[in-house]
Amino acid sequence: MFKKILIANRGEIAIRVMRACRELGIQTVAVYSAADKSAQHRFYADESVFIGEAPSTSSYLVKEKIIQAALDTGAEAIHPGYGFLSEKSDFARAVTDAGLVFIGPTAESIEAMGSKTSARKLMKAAGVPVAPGLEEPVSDFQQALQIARDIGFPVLIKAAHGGGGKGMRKVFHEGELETSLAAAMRESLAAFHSNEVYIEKFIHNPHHIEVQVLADRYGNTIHLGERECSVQRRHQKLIEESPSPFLRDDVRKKICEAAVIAAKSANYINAGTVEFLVDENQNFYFLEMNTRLQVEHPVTEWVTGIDIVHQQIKIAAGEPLQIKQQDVQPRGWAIECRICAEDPMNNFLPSSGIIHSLHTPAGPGIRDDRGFEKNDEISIYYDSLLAKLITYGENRETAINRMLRALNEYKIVGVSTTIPFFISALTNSEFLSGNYNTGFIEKHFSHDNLSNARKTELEKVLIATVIFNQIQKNHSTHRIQDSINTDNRKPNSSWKLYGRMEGLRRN
Amino acid sequence: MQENWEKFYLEIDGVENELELLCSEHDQFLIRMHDQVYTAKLIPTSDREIWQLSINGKRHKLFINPQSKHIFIQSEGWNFECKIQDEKSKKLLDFVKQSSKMEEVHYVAPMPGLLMKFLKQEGEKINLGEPLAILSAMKMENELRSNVTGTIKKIHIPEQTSVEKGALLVTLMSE
Repeated sequence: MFKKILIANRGEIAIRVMRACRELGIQTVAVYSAADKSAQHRFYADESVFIGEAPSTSSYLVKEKIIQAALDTGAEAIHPGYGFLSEKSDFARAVTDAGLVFIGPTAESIEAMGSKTSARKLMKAAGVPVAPGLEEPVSDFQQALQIARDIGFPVLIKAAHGGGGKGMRKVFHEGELETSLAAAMRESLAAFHSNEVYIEKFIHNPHHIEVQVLADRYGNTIHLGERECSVQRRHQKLIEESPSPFLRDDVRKKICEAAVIAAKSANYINAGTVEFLVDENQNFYFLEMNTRLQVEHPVTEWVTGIDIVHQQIKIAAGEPLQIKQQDVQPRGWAIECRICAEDPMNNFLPSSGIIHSLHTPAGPGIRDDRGFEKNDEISIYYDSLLAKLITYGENRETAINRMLRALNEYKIVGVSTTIPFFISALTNSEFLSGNYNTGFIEKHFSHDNLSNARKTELEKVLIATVIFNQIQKNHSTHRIQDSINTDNRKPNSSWKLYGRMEGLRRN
Repeated sequence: MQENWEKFYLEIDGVENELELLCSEHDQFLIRMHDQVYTAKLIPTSDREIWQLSINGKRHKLFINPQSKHIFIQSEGWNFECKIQDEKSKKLLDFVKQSSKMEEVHYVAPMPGLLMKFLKQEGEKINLGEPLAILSAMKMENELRSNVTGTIKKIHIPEQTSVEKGALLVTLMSE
């Protein structure tokens, strides 16, 4: 087993991986940028190395700096987390060439799956169903128009080397194609260093269901069941749950088996996720394989009882999988909400600022994977994920009620967050029914609907303001009296302030 | 006991609300709002910014932080900025407002980022909620939407410019 691992990431995922390392008795090395000098992940690690300026292109995306940091600190392996360099085959190769271990699949598997176009070819050959589209990248508008016309609108423009919704555009009409193509290529270049995009048929309002797989280097490949990730906005997942409340048991069995075939056909080693689009008749199509740890891996961990990061590290260290497929018996229900620094009332625009107050949920069935603490600054340089809140219950109803309870306890002040959106989503009857698809947000969460949800808080806020104003007024009257009486005691707690208000009234 | 209701005007999300307040026994207040009367209490907790509000016996936890011009409140994750005036200062302000009617609206960058593109040109009409510009931040392209219906009077910066939070982007004339 490794003695020391460098974690090439930041935020909640860096801490999550470091926690696993600590549990396994492994030392950790953090890397941090100028914007993260006081970030939590830097201080959680046993050692930390500064790697450059705030923009990720000067720090978290510079593979040479990260590999050098590992060599300098004597780390034997690098865990890439998700995002950043996690799905860059040249990074995986450079890590291996430097004599270090990359905690993830081989560079060849990342390449095979990383290019969405070559993955489609591979899956077709292995007999895994794929959505109609082309296997070739496109950059020219005229060419794109031709392809789109051939497949038929609506189409989806996707980054060939991307994921997570960046560099992706839905196009319904020819008129939108040119601007959408340009935007997708720009975003793709900024996020993935490649402006290669391709076009596939857009399946209207599918379910997004994915299967977690684990594979060791001795040919053992197993699945850990599925996750339903259909609550998405602009192709960014917001809520994930396991198991899927939509899939029939026979389809669940088939889709999980298909995922194992997909992983095997790419000679896949380590943890990975095979994503599928599922239509209303439960037909499923291979979407892509994510060759890394997923943001939403905790829901699977909770229902299976398996620590996926532990498994990743053990597999990378050359250990054979100890878990057999028949040992995987999911139990209960887990849900995750991705709490982001975004303003639901302002088109979910990212919100930056300093967290000046923080209260976190606790109690039974709660997991809060968070990358910040009170007084931390949420900068604009990185993605807006603040924390992942995961709840567990013996059934779906308990898990949802527990999530609502936890969201009510969670108080993050200083930036706008998506917490109020989640409260609305989790009380929506379609979500509660369990049959919701990727059209869910568009259908139910227009600006007006969110605005109505916000209005339900108005009564409380108005009443609180008017009483608070009164308490403050009484307090300042007292302050004047204090200074006249040359009494220097400053009221430093709300109770004192409140007591004075009461005293004032008794007089 | 002599009833001595005080009148207040509260502005929240651009809407003005009228409230009347009466201190009753101890820490209890009676509040008259939209023709309804509520019994309410606001009790501090060990955290000086978290208060327990009880309305007609039902309890809620709110985050309350007074700022210079408004009171900031968070309830169920929603953030609110609430301006409060008593009757006297309201009358005074109304008088001042009448003498200078503002029509120009300044649209500022809601966050730092790269201003990619303006989707409207000077002189063009724009509706409330219509996309005005694209600002790239946190690796995503974000649409900035107009907060008024009116016309674009002036665009203040060229496209492809890095802007700070609060930078003046566009002056609009609201209708």
